[in-house]
Amino acid sequence: MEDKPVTTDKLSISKDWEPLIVAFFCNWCTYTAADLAGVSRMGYDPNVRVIRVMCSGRVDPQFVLDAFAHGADGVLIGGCHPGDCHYVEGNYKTLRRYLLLKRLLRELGIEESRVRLEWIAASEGEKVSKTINEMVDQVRALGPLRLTRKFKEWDAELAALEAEAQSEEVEVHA
Amino acid sequence: MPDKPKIAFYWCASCGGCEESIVDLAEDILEVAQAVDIVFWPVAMDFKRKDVEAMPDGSILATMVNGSIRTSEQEEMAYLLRRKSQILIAYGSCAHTGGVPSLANQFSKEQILRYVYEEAPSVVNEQRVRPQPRHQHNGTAVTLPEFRGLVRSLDQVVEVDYYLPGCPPTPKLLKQAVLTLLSGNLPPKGTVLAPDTALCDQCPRKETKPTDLKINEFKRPHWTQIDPNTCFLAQGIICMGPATRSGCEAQCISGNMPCTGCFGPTSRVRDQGAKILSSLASSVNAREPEDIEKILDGIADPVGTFYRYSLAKSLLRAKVTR
Amino acid sequence: MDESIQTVWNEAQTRANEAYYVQRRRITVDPITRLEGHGKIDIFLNEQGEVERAYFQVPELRGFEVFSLGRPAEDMPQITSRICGVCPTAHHMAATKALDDLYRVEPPSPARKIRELVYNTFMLEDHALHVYVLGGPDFIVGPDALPEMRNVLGVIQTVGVDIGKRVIATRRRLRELIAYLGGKVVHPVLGLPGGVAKGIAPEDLPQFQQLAKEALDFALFTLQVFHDVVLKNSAYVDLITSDTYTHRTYYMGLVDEKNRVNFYDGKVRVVSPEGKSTPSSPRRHTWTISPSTWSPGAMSSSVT
Repeated sequence: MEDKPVTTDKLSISKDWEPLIVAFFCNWCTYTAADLAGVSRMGYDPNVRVIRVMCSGRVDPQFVLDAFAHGADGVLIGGCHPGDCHYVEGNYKTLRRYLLLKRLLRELGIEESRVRLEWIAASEGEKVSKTINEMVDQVRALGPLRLTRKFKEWDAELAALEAEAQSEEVEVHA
Repeated sequence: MPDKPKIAFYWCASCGGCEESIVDLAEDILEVAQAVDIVFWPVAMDFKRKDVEAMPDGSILATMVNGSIRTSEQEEMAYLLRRKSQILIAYGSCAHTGGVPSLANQFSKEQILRYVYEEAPSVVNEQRVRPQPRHQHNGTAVTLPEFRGLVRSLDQVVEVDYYLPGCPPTPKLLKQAVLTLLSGNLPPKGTVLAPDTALCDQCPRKETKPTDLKINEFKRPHWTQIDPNTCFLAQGIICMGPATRSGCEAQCISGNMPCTGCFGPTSRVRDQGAKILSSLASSVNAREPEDIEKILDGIADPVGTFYRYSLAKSLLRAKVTR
Repeated sequence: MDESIQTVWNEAQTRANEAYYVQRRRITVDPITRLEGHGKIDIFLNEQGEVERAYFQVPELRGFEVFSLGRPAEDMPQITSRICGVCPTAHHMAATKALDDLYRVEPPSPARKIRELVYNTFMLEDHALHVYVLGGPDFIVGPDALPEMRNVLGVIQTVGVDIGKRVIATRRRLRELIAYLGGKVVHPVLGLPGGVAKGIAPEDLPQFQQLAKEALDFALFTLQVFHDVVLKNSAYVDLITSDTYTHRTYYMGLVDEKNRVNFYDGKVRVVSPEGKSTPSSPRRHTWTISPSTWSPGAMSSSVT
């Protein structure tokens, strides 16, 4: 697959680019609601990759950062409404971590709308659709994050040196 | 009489503290000097780069490189020492995870060069002279290395065999590492040569750490009389202990100040800053967003606090838009 | 040989010779050693073998002054100490004093004394490092010593293992005192605005008083080593008193109200090469040193 040079400048974003959102949905509420949305044929943007976790409290901030590091443009976390957590405290922990994580991400140059926490009960299939669609639109407007590409760009300065070193070796043998 | 095994030390974007930790072997250094031949150690010995270049590849048993990688010269030395050494050890926080200098990853190369050479209050440089990589002198040139776009840990540049964590590592851990090397009983490649538990496990204040920690306020150390016998977190003072590897013998704690995370994470954690963020946030004693935010306001500098030594090795590595 | 071939041959030989002599006339020292920091030196000689041009190049930059911006002030003692691991205490203490100024607080007397104790102990062990490990080897092993001897191991060989062990032990104990008060000796943690993080238990005082006495003995002893090993070696004395190694400078330091040296704090006192001192200057001072007007006697200063 050919890699076209892409920048985050909106004018030069490839027309084919579509946002990639990684979603962590809690088993008891949000995932069930997503199932409901599916069964009820409520459409939502296909740009989402859903990962089921037993509780939104299972979402380690490392997962969010890892998702970005692997190319996600946005991360959505879905959990039970406050007070309804199957494990009692889990979603409160998620909320606290999410709020601190947002501050961290701001310092590191990742825009607010790229991470979102939403409380979605098991019966709220429509809310799943709505949230996903909203988020995809917001992230589409922000443009790609494409960290994997960024890392490659950053590391090109190293590769240059390696190539230099290798080409020097070749000269010696010639 | 067989040749003694050869050892080398080098420093990249370093402060020299790791060198001091080696000298802090104190009396043990005489024993070490008996057992090995130190063939390169710029802080203490006059061997030159060309001496290293002249050595056969693989002729050095082990080289301990400290300091992070910021310039092309440091990359060259890393490649050179990798070739000449059988074992390459990332020594100290900077080589292990980027160290304090990797906080520079929140800034761009241009921001740094402009401030240092033009804007700093004590600089007078009307002609805006900047370091140039090449300066011609008659038929030849003198050179300066390239200043890279970001700071890297040693293993982001070359293959590393082992790590000795800490800012700096303790002489005790160093001695253990040297003995291990000489014994030939090498641990699996990639091992961090320090215990694999969190600092809380070794901390003298461990008994006072609540199992169900509830934080009502984050206190900056000078806002309160620090109780020398109680867990810092229980006092509302941020301590990196839960997300930091032990092995340092809790020295900062014995100085009545909290851990700042210099030993890096345990093997079970990929991103130290994210992990302590998770731990501290979970303990915030509030449920409403406004109340939580109020308590979080007490964390003045999330990046500098959570990633003080490990920004280069974090999952995001740097401020992504610089 | 055919004439055209001869011409080419001659040209090639001339160029090769020139390149050889250019190389011969260039002396590179890379890296400079036995100090904290990175550097390399290139010296170019002219055809007469005299120094035509010399370059001192610093191939490192980390940018502390940039990445410290925007961070909490009270983090500065522990962040700036990472500028140097040989003298972290100096950076730590300077940053701590800046915090006192920032919050307009004076440390209480015990805190001040602890800071002074830590700082003086640091000066002792740091100077011992310089004499025996960093700069000293140049003086102690003799001016004709081989490069392999110009290091701490060569020093120990020259002065003997017993003296070597005494140096190592004294320095170790001084650094243990710093660690006791500052948590760690490399990158201590004691500095807080208006004070220090940890006190001294009264029962620990006697051992430190004893250590202070022994450290004083050790300093006098080191002076004696200098006399016996360096000053008694006439080849050395001739070398170090020659013009090449003489540099007339001013001296600047801190003194208390009785004009006694106080490394931790005091009034700035500047002494000229002839030994005359300028009147004590106020504590807050900004020195601007402009490369174009640099000369030993001219430093512009303004009081802020």
